[in-house]
Amino acid sequence: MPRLLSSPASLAVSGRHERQAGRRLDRRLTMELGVISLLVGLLFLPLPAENLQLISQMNQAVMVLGAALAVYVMLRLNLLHFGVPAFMAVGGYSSALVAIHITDNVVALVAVSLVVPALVAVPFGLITLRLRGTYFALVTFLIGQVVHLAILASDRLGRTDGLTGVPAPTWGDVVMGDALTTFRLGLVVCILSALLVAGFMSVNSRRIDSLRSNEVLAASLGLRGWPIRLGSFVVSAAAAGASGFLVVNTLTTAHPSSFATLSGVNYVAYVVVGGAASIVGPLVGTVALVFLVAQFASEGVYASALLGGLLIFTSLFLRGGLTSTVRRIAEWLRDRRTPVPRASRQRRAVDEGQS
Amino acid sequence: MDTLIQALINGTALGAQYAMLALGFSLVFGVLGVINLAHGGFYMLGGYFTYSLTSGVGLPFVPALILGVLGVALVGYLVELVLIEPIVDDHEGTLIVSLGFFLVVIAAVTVAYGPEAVPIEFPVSSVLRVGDAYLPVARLIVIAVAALAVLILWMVLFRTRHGVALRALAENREVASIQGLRPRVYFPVAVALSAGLAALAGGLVLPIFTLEPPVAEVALMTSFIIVVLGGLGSLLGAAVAALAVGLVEAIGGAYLDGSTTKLLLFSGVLLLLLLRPSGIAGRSVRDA
Repeated sequence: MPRLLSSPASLAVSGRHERQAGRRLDRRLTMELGVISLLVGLLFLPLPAENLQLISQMNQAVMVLGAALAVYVMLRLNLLHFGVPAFMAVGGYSSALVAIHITDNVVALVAVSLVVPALVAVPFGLITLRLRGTYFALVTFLIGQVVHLAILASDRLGRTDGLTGVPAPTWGDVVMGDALTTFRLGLVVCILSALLVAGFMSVNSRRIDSLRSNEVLAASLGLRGWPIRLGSFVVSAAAAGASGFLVVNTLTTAHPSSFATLSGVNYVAYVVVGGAASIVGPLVGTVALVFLVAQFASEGVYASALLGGLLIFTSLFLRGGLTSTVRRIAEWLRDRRTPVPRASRQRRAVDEGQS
Repeated sequence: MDTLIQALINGTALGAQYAMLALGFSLVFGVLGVINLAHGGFYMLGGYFTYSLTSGVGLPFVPALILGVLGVALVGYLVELVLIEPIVDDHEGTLIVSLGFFLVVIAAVTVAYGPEAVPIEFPVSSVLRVGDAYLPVARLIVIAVAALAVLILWMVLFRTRHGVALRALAENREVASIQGLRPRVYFPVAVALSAGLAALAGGLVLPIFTLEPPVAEVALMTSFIIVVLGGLGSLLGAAVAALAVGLVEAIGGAYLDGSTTKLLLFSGVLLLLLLRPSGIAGRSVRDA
């Protein structure tokens, strides 16, 4: 073993792997910065206030982007998280309660929607993060159901009626109630969620990649997995909670049907269709599916069929989602122009498998 | 006391129904290693196939139920062959594909039959009186049929050559394949068996309750809680957990409201995971 580790060949291999890992991190960081810059840019883009349909669709995408990011954070660890609606509900209901009973200050509401779900995620995380793979996925469904049932059983949360008449958030004397302001507030909250997710990912990127590729090996090298998994779960809950706040803010109602357990499928679909290799995947998937589904707004049942069909198609034919497929096509086209040595192609294939 | 007896009978009937649902779900996970989210869809399809064959074709209930079960089993067979088989070793991928199929089936049924409940009635509506308790015969029939179905499944799995093959594939696919057992032949059979069981539960029970598209989601959630409680992939665990969940729901429902009973049940199962992450059966056939 010592001879193998210290041999020049193994050192060269380990150096190459480190360089590849470094390149992967750089690429991911660039993507994350790109997405955040895009969202910031959208804030300053002049939008036609009279085109309410466009603003409504953009707002819908912004509203659920946090939920997609919540799924993405856990999927980086190979954990499929269907319990996102539970944390959206916690964020949405807690901000609604604060808005109704304490203050409608926007900073307070956003802070509550980020912090309360993060705190609630800790005990749930302690229960679920011992589980792996598909078992984890099943149990996250149960978390969604527990929170949904808790809302239905609580008089304080309005049971099946929910909390109605939630006041619009305010910033000083400004009431943020119109469609355009709601959209821009949604963008700001999305940027916060994206920064939170990207920050956590950047700090823990190598650890997450290690856990993802071989957890046993990572543990044998001294990497403790549970703080990373719990941290991911908490960050995911915070992003979902912020998304829940946006849902409540848009509808001015915190209603249990907005956080139905099976709606977690939609957020997973956004990431699966978009791709989970980087933060671009959830963004692309969310925007694409929200706009596609909006075309069937009058016939929700077709939207459900479309979503199902896309999930099947992506899993069978577009492994890695839209973003990975586009990248593969781009690389294929580049390789056709400039033939790449076979060894290099093999290395890239290994590289892709890891990302 | 009579309320309790009534609740016990109802709970056993519920448990029997849940056992048919959860055994199929657990069987597919045990043999293929796949979480089949289409399972709730198969349950719902069992009800709708039976409904179509009774009200559309005019068949009596029992032949309609049998044909419905066979039809759904065929759908399950094809789903495995076309959708699951190409990516059978990708656990997350198969979960997503089955989820996609589940959504498509619900949409298709909603388009074909509408979102409202359809009128279908169980052929037996008489009630037995035991002391001061009233026992619906339909529920006793559900218990008897479920017991028979579980017995047949047990005999297939433990007393036939093909059952041994299925269990061998569940135990160690590589070694079983080396011995000449072909997963490509047996995997679709396992999904067909599972779909057939779910359809039997749906076809038998939904006419007693309500036949509408949302039952698929309820069935899926129920399957989840049972297999998580019983231990994923453990058939015995699934059967015991199904009975336990049925009894808790019925007895709790007699004294509390439905939402509170379910909340207590779901929370209890989540807390149990702290102590026994692999469910009450302790050891699952296959690690998730």
